[in-house]
Amino acid sequence: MTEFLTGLFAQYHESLVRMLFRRTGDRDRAEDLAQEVFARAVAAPPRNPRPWLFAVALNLVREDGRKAVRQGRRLELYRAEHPQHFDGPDEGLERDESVARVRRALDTLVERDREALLLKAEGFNYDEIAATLGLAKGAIGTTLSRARRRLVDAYRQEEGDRHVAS
Amino acid sequence: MSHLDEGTLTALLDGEIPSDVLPSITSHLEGCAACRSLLEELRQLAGEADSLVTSLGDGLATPVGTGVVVPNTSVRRTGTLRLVAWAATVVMAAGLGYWVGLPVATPPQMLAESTALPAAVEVQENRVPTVAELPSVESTQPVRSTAAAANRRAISAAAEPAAGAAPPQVVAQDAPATLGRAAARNDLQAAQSADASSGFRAELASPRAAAAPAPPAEGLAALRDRQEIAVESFAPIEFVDAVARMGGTLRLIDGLVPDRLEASTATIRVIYPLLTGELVLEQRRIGDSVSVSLRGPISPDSLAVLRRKVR
Repeated sequence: MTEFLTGLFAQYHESLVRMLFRRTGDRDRAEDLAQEVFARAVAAPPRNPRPWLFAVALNLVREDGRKAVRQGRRLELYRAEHPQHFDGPDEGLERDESVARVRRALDTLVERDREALLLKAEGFNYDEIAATLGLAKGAIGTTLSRARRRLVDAYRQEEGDRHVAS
Repeated sequence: MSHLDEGTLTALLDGEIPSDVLPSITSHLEGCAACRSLLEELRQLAGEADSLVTSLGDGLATPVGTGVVVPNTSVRRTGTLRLVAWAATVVMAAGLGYWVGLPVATPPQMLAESTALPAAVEVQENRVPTVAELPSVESTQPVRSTAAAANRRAISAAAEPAAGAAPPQVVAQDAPATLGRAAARNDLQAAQSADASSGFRAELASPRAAAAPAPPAEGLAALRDRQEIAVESFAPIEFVDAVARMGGTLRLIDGLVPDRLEASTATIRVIYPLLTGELVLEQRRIGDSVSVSLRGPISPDSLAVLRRKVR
């Protein structure tokens, strides 16, 4: 059992944290949520680990997100998203702004579309995305197509707003 | 036949169309300019969306676009610390579970899914050897890069921009920022792969990997193959044609955005831009099997990780 779980951790932890970081914008929170996911895997060892781990993680994000909205914590999450970097101040600021625009664009997507995109970015195939999100495999192409289009449109809108403002 | 919907075309781009359905789709695309145009639009959208998602970073503060892919020892140390922390969490969780006499809470829906999900997900109907199991032709790189560069120059001078197969010079002139972003994104993905390689390392060194079938064509046959490859002439090819040439399944590197496709009489090349050069995924059908190789200006570790992402 220990060997199985250790292997699970070694294989999926980084990918899980990366997905959670992209979803929440908060590295510490992503780490905490990942720890919780693996703790739950101890209680109910999954047969198909990857979809299971990511589905539990996304459920936790949703639950945590609802609590965060109630507690007014969203602004803190945005503030915490700025990563450490090694650029000069101008380049760093520009990249932070760019990341914030992408995050705002991603936030305009409905939950399912956003999650499908993030899972695809982790190398999930359609079967795995369908299993993780509880969708039919036949719906994944449409979901991803809609999600990509909306994300790009929303980002372009953000870019347009920025140029108008400046 | 009515026009293909976006979901089908997106599944085609993602390599998710079953082989028995593919002929009717490619046949329709050959005769329908509107669907080909939509396919190209979706391909660009997919590349841009993937690029945006990747630009969010990975939480590990990797500088964007360094173009250098090396095993990150500091990440491995961090991973070890996290492993210890996680082990402590596991012990505490299990202990608490026993003490309270109840299992750790898991959403009922997930418990149901954990038992309902299949033990393994089969993607490929016709199983072919994975890239990790196939012989590499990386040692031909010096000869091939010279020949390929000459080919690209000749092709770029003669070819018109085509959907899904724009020559690099055209892309560079029309949209340098886009190409740079795609290259930076691919570099970042490759870097993430290298970061993730610590997780894959145990598997790469596993008996299964060690027991992978030895290349059947080593020796004279391999030299002959390499010689043939070295004199092959490549020209741009469209996505749909490349898929058809490969019998319905074109291998791609998951998570990276191709720059263009090229084909010779026997081989299809999918070329990905990196800031440091180009990553080339070559594939050729040999009877019922497919030979795949991957090469590029990145470390062997990174290449090994990317080989595992070929779908």
